[in-house]
Amino acid sequence: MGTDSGPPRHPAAGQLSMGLRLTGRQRYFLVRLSWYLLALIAAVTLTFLLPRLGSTSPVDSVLASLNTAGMSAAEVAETRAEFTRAFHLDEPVWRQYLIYLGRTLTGDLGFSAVSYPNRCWEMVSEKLPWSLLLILPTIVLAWILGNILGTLAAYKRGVFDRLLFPLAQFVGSIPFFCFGLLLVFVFYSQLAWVDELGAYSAAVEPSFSLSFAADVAAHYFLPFASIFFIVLGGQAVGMRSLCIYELDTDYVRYAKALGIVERKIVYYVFRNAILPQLTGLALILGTMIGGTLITEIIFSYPGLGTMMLRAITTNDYPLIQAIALLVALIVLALNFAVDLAIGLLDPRIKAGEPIGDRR
Amino acid sequence: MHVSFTKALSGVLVRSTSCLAVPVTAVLLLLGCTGEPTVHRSPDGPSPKARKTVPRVFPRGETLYVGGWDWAPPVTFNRLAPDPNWPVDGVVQIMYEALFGYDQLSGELVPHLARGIERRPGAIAVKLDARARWSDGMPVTVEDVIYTFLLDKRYPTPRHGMWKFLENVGSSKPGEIVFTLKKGNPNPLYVLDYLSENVILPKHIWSEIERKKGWNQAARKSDYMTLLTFKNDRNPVVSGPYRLISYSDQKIVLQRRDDYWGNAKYGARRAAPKYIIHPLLSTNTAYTDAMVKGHLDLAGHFIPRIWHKRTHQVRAWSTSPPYHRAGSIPALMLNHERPPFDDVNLRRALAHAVDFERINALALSSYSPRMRPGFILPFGAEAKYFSEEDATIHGYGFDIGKSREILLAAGYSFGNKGRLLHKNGEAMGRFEVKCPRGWSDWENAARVLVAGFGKIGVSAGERLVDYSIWKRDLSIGNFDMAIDTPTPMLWPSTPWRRFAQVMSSQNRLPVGQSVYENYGRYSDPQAEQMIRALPGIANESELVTAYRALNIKFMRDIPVVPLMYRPTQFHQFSEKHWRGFPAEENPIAPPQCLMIGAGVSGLWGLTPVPRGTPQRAN
Repeated sequence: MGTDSGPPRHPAAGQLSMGLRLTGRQRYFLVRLSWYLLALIAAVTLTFLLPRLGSTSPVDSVLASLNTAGMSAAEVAETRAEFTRAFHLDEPVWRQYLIYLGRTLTGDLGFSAVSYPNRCWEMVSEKLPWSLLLILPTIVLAWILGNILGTLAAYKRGVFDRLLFPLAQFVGSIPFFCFGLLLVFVFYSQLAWVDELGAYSAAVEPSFSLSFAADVAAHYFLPFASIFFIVLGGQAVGMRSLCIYELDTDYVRYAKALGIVERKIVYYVFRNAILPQLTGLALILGTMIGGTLITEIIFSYPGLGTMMLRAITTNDYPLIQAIALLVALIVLALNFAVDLAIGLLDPRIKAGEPIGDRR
Repeated sequence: MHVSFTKALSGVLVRSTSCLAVPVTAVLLLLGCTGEPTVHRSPDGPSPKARKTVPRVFPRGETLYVGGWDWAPPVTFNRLAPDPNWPVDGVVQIMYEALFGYDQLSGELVPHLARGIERRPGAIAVKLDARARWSDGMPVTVEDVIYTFLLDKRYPTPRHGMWKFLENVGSSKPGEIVFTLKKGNPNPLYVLDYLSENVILPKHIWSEIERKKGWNQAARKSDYMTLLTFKNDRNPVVSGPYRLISYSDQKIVLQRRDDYWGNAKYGARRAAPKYIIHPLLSTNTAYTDAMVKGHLDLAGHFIPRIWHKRTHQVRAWSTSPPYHRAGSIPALMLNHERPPFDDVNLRRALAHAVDFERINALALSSYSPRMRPGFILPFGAEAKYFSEEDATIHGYGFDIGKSREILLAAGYSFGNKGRLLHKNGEAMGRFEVKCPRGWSDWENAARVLVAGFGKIGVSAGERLVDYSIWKRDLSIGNFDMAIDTPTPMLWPSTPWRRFAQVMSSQNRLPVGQSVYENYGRYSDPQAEQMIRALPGIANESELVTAYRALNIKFMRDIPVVPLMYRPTQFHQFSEKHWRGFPAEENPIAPPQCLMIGAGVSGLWGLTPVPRGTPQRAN
């Protein structure tokens, strides 16, 4: 159904001016790629400019941490000058931007201003695995399970739906921080099932060992749960609605009337219903990377969120830029991956093929 | 039907999620490559045997967990950096040591690397303890001390400013260092402060680092920024009882040095904990929870209502009010360059509108002893300079009626709804009390202030800003009123330093330009003269007279309004795993958290609680 349908296209539609002939999917991906490139440039430029619109610079934060008691303005000015020069903050903004672009293109994200002499890339790469560990398995599992449950609820209705739907709606609408605090209160403060916050026990030194892995897993449980159930609830509610809508469409009735086997109909229903959910998945992943701030703070869990917050509150331009660049790249990559998925699943994407190219 | 449904569903899901396989796999690979989280180890040497010196699990009975000094992931242990991590900032002396450690109880300098001090005309001479050794076995020498002080002269380090008070650091005879005071600006008090917090570095290590990183050959000048790239996180050569063995974004780990030279001072005994671990948690609440659960033995952060924690065997220096030993005076800075704060009568009226008791209860869990007027602590080592008689005659107290009387007598009037009017009858604008966002004790104090000022018709509001903005605005004078603590620590130079921080006009600059003391731009020639003269007074009775005069000047002029007596350190401990902490009834060391100044000696008095010991309530 529908994979080779679609309006006839002008023969030249799939041809670029260079005479390159592209299939509908190729053209789709190329257009998406160009948009992502533009989005990346915009993100990089904005994250460069926005922090600089404020009235303070990272050097103010460096000086704020300095014990300046008894020092005269001239003496403090020496420290200020050293940091200002090192980070090119005495240059015009456009030149700073060119320096930044030049360095970024060569893969050099520079030093953090406030956490000098740490390199931004080192700082980010220390936190990134923790953030990804917190986000990817949590979101992907919640998404898969949420969609299965939502579909079951829509399809089976009855008691299952009447139980699941309000529960999912309730859990899905709890704010992250409320649920996180509730988990801390119940499982850490009251029941003491989890004995310590953080990514692993303070008494344990990281090593390649089963005991360390078990310790990390034990610490992972609460932060995981704080995100998992909320996303699960939201996904289940969304998928249920989509499926109910699809099940009620004309093509389903028509297919049933034609006597098409149930399995085939279900296949089409879910194929259609899953598309918006896939887009939603990309959006959730996008907002969660660097957005697990609350979870990180509540559970003293390492990650990019708290680092980003600290970078922003101290105006650490290079670190803000580095994290933003990384987040932008990951978000765009994930979105592109989802686009790929949609491209493969959605017959309308294929519809853009030049007529002669049809298989 | 159900079978077909499941198959169809799984088909779609598998197909769609398979597209995510690439990024997910990439992440898992990344995690796999990282394997163990980034942890920086600092064993004795590069051999595999040495690497084993960092254990996989730190035995509870040998490990002291401390918290509240660092929140962010560690950056550097280079003592020349603007803000190095625990335990390398100046006041903490368990890895590097200064010549002395200040005892906040007695007000004395306790020898650390030094063994004696002598004040001479225009100079201070210090005798070095000949027993002192670095962790690599080399002796701590006079050259190390001179070199360290010169490092702060060559580079714009946090202690660069001390050279304003020093002419020279040299040696005239073996084992003795002579600190010659700056001619024209002699200030032995500041120099004593530096002797008690300037931790000494080994010249034989650091001169080599400086040669490699501290000199820019092309520009032919010292290169501070390159020198800071040395993080000093691998096998630091230290003189103190502990050394850094590993750190990550989750914790900093120190190990006891069994060959610490200073053990001789304690009858050849070693400090009790073999390991000291500082977990890096993200909030005060997390540290408090960890303490209640027995995961933290010692904490330096603010725990409100500490008496409620006694059932968890958590307590402070004292088990009765005010629980802590106060040592600093947070105050309301007033901008003397902005009318009407240039008017002493208005400042006096404001001082009478401050509800000190309420601030103490709301902001500080009543940890502050009863406030007395002036800028001298009426207890502890400073009590000898405080005069109750002067306070009664020249002081102030919370009294709204009196405050309104002062305003009316000075020519102010009250308009509609009791709003205060300028002397010329114009309505007064709305003022701001600026304080850093997230500092809950100060935020509460600001609320009480605003409410009190409202009662005398002064319209004001709290203005909470980011820390760096607050600090910058203080520095350039961009505030009406702001909360700050002049000199948050006790030093050999307090209370003089506290007065100088709000009354000295030596470094005064107009609003708009940065200053690092006297943010309110108070200026008075008589006060300046008194502040300049005081550090040179050695006779104790003359000193008492000078301090009384200075405190009277303060109470008359009210350059700032003191708000509370705050502990310099929140010395709080849990007795679940360790006992023998310094406390009011066990004053083996001052309440300086076993690591600050003279508080270090408390580490030799701890004893681990044997497993299975019945827990006792305090």
